[in-house]
Amino acid sequence: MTQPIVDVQKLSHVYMQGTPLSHVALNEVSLQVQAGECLAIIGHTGSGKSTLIQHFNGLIRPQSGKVIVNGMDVSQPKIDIRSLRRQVGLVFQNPEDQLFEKLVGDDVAYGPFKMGLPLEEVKNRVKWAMDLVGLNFQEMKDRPTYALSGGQKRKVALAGVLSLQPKVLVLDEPTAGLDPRSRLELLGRIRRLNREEGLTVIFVSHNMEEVSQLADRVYVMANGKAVCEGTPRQIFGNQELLREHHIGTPESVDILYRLRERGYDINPGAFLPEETACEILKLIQR
Amino acid sequence: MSMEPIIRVENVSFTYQVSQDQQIPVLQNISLEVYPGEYLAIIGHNGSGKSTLSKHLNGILTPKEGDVLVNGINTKEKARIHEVRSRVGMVFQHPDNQIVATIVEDDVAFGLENIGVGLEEMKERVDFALEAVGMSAFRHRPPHHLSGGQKQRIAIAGILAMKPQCLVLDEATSMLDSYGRQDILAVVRKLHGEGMTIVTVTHHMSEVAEADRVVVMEGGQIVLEGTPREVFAHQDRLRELHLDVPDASRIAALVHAELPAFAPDLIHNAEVVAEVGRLYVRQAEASGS
Repeated sequence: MTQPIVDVQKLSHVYMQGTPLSHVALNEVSLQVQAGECLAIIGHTGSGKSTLIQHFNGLIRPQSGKVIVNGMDVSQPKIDIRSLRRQVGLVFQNPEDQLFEKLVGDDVAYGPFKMGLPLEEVKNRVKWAMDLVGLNFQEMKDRPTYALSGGQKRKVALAGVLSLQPKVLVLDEPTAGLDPRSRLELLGRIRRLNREEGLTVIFVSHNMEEVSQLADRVYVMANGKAVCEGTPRQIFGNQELLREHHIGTPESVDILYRLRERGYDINPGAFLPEETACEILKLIQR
Repeated sequence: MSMEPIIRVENVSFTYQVSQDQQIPVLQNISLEVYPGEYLAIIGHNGSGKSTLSKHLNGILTPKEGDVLVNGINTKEKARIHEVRSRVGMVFQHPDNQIVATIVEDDVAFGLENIGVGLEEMKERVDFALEAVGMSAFRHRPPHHLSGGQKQRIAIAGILAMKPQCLVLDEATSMLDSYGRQDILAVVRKLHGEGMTIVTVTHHMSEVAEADRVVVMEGGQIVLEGTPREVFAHQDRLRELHLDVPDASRIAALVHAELPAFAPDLIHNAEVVAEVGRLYVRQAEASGS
């Protein structure tokens, strides 16, 4: 295998170290992400997912262990942090947290403008990025950001990060709060960025439908450790693992598990609704 | 229905002013009644106006045109807004934005302090509210160490302490993991069972399946209304409206298309499992005879 684009080695992080409130968020986590992969990180609230991904663009520096992103060692205080952040775009869970300009167009342009790109190039990138996330440039560029719906804010935040043309896109709960269509649309766009533009995508999610539809590979986190890794089919087929680590399942998998618990011979890895329907038909049409 | 509604929304229109000469219409001449003890779900795509509508139900927003009456009190009457809010409480999307105190029980008591409830009664109400959401054991803890689902339960407790008749949940589960969501749904189910009126705004179709009535919004208007089973029967229409049906409904429809004996109008996972059981037995009998 080639050198991973993100390489995490025995990373630990303790919040409020040395105080009575000290809390171990990450405990010797190791994980590798290959360039061009779409990786999901799942785990119960408080399992360390968000702490982990904040290391990827240097928002948090390693206390112990290593994080190497595209050859840059994030633990080295002297690395070019701006270059790192151009390569790794991070979209937070609450899009409000990363919109700060009054108008949509200005907000998306902020990054490329600060990079010192010529105005024409900035404009092209803003158009490109807004188009990628499905925001009409002409219609939306002069819209005030406060008058946007939650879904639109999320798209603007994503466009703002994409306008930097990062190599790695890190998303924290990319579709929380989106309606079903916007969710499917955004997932489709992320998948296209990943498959067609070769963008490496790492996302944290508690929406298991989303994980099953988007990810090539899944890491399961629990108590600050990466406890398991596999394809969505391997992970969702493992009921004991999910129960043990308080991880939910897609609705379809819940139906499959319930059927299996009643003694029916059924494949719990068949999580797409079409597959679930097939499994059911096989049972009752023998 | 002869019963007097708790909330009456009458011909309400609302616009957001984005600039001097541009207004975005969000609600267009909407009328809706919420009845005591009802469990109502409001769904619609992002920007359909559902969240704006829900913020009208306890006077956070007031109509540009039309009226909202809560137990007969017009939400435009500023002097009586406390009465309105004590009857209709609201829980929002982000748990962190709703926690104000540094200790759980202080947070739950916050609203009571504001309306001048005496110490003895305050203690009783806080006890009751924490018990109702299953968080009594956490009363002396700092809220920022709790999980998202636990914080949302604290937010609900703060509302319950005000003894409202109606609880409005504006995407209250959308930031939670599935366990946190199940926690909140269990609390809501219990409150509804005890007679609380529930209005929930959500994108989770499996949550909608639990309601008595569903209102579907599009372009600031109500375009579809009925029981969850009635509404989810319109799979194509819902898709046009950028919405979806629960996986249970989709799976039932797929199986039904191949095997007409399988009921198409299922909305709960348990119903799908039961239907498989029914046909499995029938099929076993048929092949046995």
